[in-house]
Amino acid sequence: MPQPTVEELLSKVKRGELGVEEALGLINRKGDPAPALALEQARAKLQALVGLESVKKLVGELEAFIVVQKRRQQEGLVTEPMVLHMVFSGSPGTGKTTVARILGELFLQLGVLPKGHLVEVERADLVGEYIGHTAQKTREQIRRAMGGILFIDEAYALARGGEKDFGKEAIDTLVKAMEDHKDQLLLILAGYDEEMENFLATNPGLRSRFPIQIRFPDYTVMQLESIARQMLRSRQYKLSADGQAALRRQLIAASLSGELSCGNARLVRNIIESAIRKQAVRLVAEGKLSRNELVEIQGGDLRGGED
Amino acid sequence: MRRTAVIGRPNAGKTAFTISFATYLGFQTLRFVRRQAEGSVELELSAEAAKGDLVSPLPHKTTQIQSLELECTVGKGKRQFELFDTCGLMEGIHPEGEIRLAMAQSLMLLRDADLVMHIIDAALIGKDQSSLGVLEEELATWGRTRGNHLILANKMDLASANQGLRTIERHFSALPIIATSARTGQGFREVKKYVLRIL
Repeated sequence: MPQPTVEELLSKVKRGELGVEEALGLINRKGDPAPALALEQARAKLQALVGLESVKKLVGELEAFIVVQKRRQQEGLVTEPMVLHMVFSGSPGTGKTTVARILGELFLQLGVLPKGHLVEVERADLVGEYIGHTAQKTREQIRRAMGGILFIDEAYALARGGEKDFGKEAIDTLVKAMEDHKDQLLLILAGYDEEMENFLATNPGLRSRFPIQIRFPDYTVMQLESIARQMLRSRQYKLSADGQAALRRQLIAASLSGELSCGNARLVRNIIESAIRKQAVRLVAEGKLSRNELVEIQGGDLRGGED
Repeated sequence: MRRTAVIGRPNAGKTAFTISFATYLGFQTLRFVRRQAEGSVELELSAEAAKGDLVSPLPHKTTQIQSLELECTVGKGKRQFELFDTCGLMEGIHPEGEIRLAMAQSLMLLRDADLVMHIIDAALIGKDQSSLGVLEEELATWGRTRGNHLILANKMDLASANQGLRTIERHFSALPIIATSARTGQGFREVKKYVLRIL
């Protein structure tokens, strides 16, 4: 169906078939539902994340910096160039991708990025198999991310394999794109703490191009419990008293065995999803399908959650 | 001639701003051109009389688009532009056909204008945050894609306006915002500077 033109929409306003804000909404989004106060929503999403206090503080600072730079520009004052490329370091499941996605929305609303979408890639998406292939693959990913954020997970892997590796070519292509499309592209390099530190240390030119470095600490057991509660609430489940105790026991065991730092929130999600499946099996077996039973996860559903 | 449209909700102070801004630019007599179905009508008034006749504390006093030809002096040169005072926009479908027509015309003008001054009553927002609604959001979103949208946080002479200004700045940090008062002339210098830069 062809899109109605602005004139058609406005004549509907005139005839009383469409409210003013509905017509504007159609003009703005060509039919998508109205995102009420999107900037406020992106901020609320960030605030709703458990823990990550240092990340929230830094994002708050960035936001203030952007607003002030824009105002200074209006007043004709000298402005700092806004280089917002970032390094995210931390274990898997500590919220790096989630925060990157929210930053995309925030930067879109603040007028820093024209589209604000997130393109997530890793070494295999960038590095090719023969000479010339890498630049071509990398440029393709850059093209997809244009106007938004290119998020490179396990970025240190690009430096794997030494001088002759094609990974270096990918890095060079990325650096060139960062300079060529300053206002169009934001790069985030992500990975484990130590590996990212080594990666930046061996590529001295990179550190200065990524002035913002954010550490994502491992979650504490208590924070993971709140994450579990959030996940359950959004799926309309809740833990019984013995369910809560069982979850805590399981998280403490995982943290002692070191399993936690390689999974964090992702491990919690696996535990929750497995518990939901086990609860379903139990309810069907017991034939109890009351509303209360459907919502409650018990201790028995959680034990031995990994299999 | 370059066109500037003054838009906003009913009672945001569009007409009062238009008249005060013209006076600020040095115009003592104002020649309004009103567009009507039968053709345009000219109306010549002193600034004082215009305030008395055209401004009202009741919403929807302006039901026809009216424009003024103005000029700003820049150094030795002059910059001419047409300032359009429009009909207040509000959410929903207005029961009166005349007002619906005027709102549609205002939106059409908004689309074609070289510069849009979006007036928001900061004092009202300061008293009640929820009065900053979907309408402002949609106007600002459209404005951002066109890149010629200036927000005026108006009625800054009133007590609650500072609070309102902060709310407006939080909501529309991607757009230029100037705090104004049609009564005291606050912000007019910045508005003039902005007009000269854009037009």
